[in-house]
Amino acid sequence: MVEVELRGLIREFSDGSRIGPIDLQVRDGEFLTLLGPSGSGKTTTLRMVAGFIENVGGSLLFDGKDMVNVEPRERHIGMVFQSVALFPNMTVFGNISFGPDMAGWSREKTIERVEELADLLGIRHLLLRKISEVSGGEAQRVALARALATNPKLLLLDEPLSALDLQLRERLQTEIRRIQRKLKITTIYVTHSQDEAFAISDRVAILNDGIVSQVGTPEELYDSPANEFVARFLGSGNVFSGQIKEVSGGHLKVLSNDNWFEIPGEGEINSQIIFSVKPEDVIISDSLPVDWAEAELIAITPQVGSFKVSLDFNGIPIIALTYDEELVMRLRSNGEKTIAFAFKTESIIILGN
Amino acid sequence: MNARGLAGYAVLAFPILLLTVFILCPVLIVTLQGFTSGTSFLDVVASPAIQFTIIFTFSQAILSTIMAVCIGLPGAFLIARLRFRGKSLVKAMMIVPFVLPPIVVVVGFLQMFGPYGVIDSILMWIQGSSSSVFNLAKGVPGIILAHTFYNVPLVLLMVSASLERLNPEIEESAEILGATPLQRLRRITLPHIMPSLLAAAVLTFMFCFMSFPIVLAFGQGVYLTIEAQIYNAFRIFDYGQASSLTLIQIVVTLSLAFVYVKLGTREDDSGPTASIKTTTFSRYRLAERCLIIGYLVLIVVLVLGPIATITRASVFDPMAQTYTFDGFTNLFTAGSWYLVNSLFYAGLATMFAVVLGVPLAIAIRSKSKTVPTLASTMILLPLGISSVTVAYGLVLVIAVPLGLITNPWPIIVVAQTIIGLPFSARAIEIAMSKIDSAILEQADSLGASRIQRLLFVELPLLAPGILVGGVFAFAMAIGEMSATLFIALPQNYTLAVAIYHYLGIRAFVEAGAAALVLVIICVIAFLVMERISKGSTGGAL
Amino acid sequence: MNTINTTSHPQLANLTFADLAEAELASALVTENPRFSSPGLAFLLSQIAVYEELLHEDWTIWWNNISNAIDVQEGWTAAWSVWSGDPSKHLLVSYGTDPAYSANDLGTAPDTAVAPFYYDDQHWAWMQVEGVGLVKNGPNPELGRAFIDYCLNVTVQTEIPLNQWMFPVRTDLTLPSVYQYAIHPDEVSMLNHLLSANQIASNLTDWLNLWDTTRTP
Repeated sequence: MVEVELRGLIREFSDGSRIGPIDLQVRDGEFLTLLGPSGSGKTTTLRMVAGFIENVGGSLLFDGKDMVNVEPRERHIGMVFQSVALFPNMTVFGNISFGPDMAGWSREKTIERVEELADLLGIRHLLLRKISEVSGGEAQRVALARALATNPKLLLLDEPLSALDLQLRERLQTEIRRIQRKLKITTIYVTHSQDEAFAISDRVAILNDGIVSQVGTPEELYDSPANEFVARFLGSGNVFSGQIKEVSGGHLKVLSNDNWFEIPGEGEINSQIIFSVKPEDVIISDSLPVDWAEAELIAITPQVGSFKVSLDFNGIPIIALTYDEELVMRLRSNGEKTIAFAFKTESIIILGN
Repeated sequence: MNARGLAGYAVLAFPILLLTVFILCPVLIVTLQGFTSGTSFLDVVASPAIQFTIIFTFSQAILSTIMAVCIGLPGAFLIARLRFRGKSLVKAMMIVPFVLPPIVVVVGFLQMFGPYGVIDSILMWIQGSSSSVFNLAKGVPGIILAHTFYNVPLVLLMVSASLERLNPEIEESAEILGATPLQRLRRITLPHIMPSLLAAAVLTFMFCFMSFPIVLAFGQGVYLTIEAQIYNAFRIFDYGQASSLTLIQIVVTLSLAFVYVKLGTREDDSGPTASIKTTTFSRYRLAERCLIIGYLVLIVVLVLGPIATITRASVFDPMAQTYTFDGFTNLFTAGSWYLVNSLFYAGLATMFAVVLGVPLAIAIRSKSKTVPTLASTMILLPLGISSVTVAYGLVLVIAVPLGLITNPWPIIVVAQTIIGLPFSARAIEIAMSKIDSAILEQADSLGASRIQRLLFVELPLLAPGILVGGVFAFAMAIGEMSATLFIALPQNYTLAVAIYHYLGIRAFVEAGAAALVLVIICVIAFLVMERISKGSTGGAL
Repeated sequence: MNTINTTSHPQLANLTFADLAEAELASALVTENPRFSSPGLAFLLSQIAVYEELLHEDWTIWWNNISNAIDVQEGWTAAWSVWSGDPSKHLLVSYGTDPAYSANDLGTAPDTAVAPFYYDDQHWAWMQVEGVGLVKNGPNPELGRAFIDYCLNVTVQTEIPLNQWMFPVRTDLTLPSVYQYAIHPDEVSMLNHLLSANQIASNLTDWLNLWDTTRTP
């Protein structure tokens, strides 16, 4: 098990695009996920750690030792690829035992290890199957067993579940987490699914346009997005921008979209400010209180135990979350189009200027 | 069965019936009749000369296959892995040897590797000699080299296509699991390409086994394939020997065809073709770069050289060692009808090959149990049966009774149609398989009858495929030399046959000129094919 | 009369098959396939006649010895093309009238000569006969006979020497002057006489098969 540090890891491409510099620390035994939209560089970063990218600048430290110039096959890493990439000409056993074969393990030791992993992943009954006879879901388990066979120090997973349906995916997510916890193996996971990242990770690093936007536990990211991108990406809040008009006693009066909002925090008068409010911190009312802002009601979507209310605030979309069934029934029955909303002041998050 | 079903069967039965009349019957009749005269089968097999021929046929085919594989395999890796400008051009050019008639290959080979050819002239100049010092275009070396030339592109294209289908993440998995490049090659890459490699090897073997013009030209009458010996047997009227040898040939080619079909059913697709991992030339070390350049030089010399030097062959007289246009003048004055015959016979043959190819392709794709196998077999027949036997069968069973023997051009057309048919049917069948069935269902739901759907929906969609098939069939027909040589009287000579006769009387410049004309025609045909199929002609294989 | 320049190759004056088997002459020899060519067949039968009837030795040995060295072309046209185009191939199995052809072509003395075989103090050659025949049960026997008579008349026979390069069958004609350089049938002994027609008829297939075997490497 290993502590991994990416220090200023960077790669420039011939078309001018660039991934990095990436600064990231993965603690020993930690499950860290790289999360971000397509093209944000998460897979490339993972492949840089694996060693498949040439001409990488910066340093990559495994327990303090720089691995940037070490061949992939000598980094002692286990990896599961997006396409699963099992060896089609071998059986499941052959796939899992491939790593030990390459490392020259004895036959007994190999068999013992393969059976151990097969038990761990519940694929004992598949060992003699040909790869063509292995279904989705089973294939991912085989790939995981294959990656773990030689007791690697680091486990890398590149969107391994993206081809599966939701139920299977959720089941395997739990499995992966369970196994990782049991083996205490340092793991870096790549996904574009926020739900998946938040469900299984110790910490999540959000990537945007080739650099790390924010790293933290799921709660930290959700409650305190560091910048507009994170907030928008996580959908953790409705994002607003406005101009500070008054500063007094730890509160700011901000003019946004021709409406006044009071926000706790510090700032300079007449400067721009960006802030976000989580859906559950947006209060709506159909009785139109005087100093509340108004918006047009677009849709009400029922969810499990709550309602998602979509509003249009002069062109800016707002998502509010409410548990008020009666309010919803009223809104639906009288076809009211205009809604008043306000924010729970304490929960407004300033994102930056 | 209703009238429509009956009509459907009739359409499918029509080409099968024609093929039965024009291939199966003549060959069967000739073969069976042959066993009643001439040398008996046992005597044929016991004859030392025949035994030598049989052994030679096998050994040269094996040797040529080994060489084609050894030379083509590195190229397949280069094509699949190396990124360089003009790669699609090189891949396209690799298909040119297929459309070149073997007799043209002979001319190109003589010009490249033969006496007073390109290499010989260079060596003569270096050594200051005034007579030939280098001649590889004869005997066993000449035959094997020419066969290798013909088949290296086949190996290269088939294997590189398979390599490009290999999911790069599979190789990366192996790498991260600790495999060295050699181990990756042995455990992952080679097993992946093995089906394609074997298929290419089988095809190469079959081609070399059935080889005729190349062996006639370089064999010096001593080294013969079974096909060439069949040709001789007919010429000395020993039908028993001809039939016996034809039978031996059929047994071998049928077995090989069976193997080939079996290989084709093994899937070697390993999943989505993720971005193919290519590297640029600059990423290789110096030693590797030298190897790559050396290999490319070899390919240029062996494959592209003979094609390119045909230009020189058309104007350089090795006897007089001068450059002259006499070849062209003689060709177009005394031999003006060669070109006309070539175009006319091949043109007709192409029309028939296409017209027959459509119902045959339909038959291959039909859902019934027996029809597809029957149709596929009939199409493959011409590739596995001696062309000379077919030719003789046509003469005996069709030309003589119909009194065509004084001007047998119709059966020349039949023979050329038969040669072109496998290619036209295959191309059309591939095109059919690519039609989205949703479109056809749409036509059905709008009320179109089977015929209407065929004429107004399928055929227009198939047009590119039909054109590709037609052009391929044309290239095959115009280059056909085995059956045509056997049947043709002087007034029926095509360019291909004329080249053979010119070579026989050492009229090298005329042979070169005729070869150049054929090359130009074939290259034009090939470019048309590429254009229509937009760079996917290789798929027609 | 045919004169041979024997400066470089004196053995040509009294040529034997043994001489031909020597490397010096063997590598210069072009002959034809006896299955497809009449001069080729004549050459084979000549050799068989000499070895079987004159020398009483196994004729296949000679072919086995010479097999790698000589050039066997398919027919006379191809062989002639090799001989006339390649200076190193200066011996061609061909017709006794070739010097006449050469003189006619060049307009002077010929640059070609014929070397008949020499055994038992005689010069030997194989007689080639070409003719016209009536096909059995043909549809027009009368017309056929008339045509044969036509072929035998003076006009046609006079054309034969310079077109067919054969001696005409009519002996009452004057041969063209160039024919002084050709070998006349009267000047040589016929190897044909050494083998009877029956002998050839019953043995030819076997002989040809044996010949094939000698050609096999």
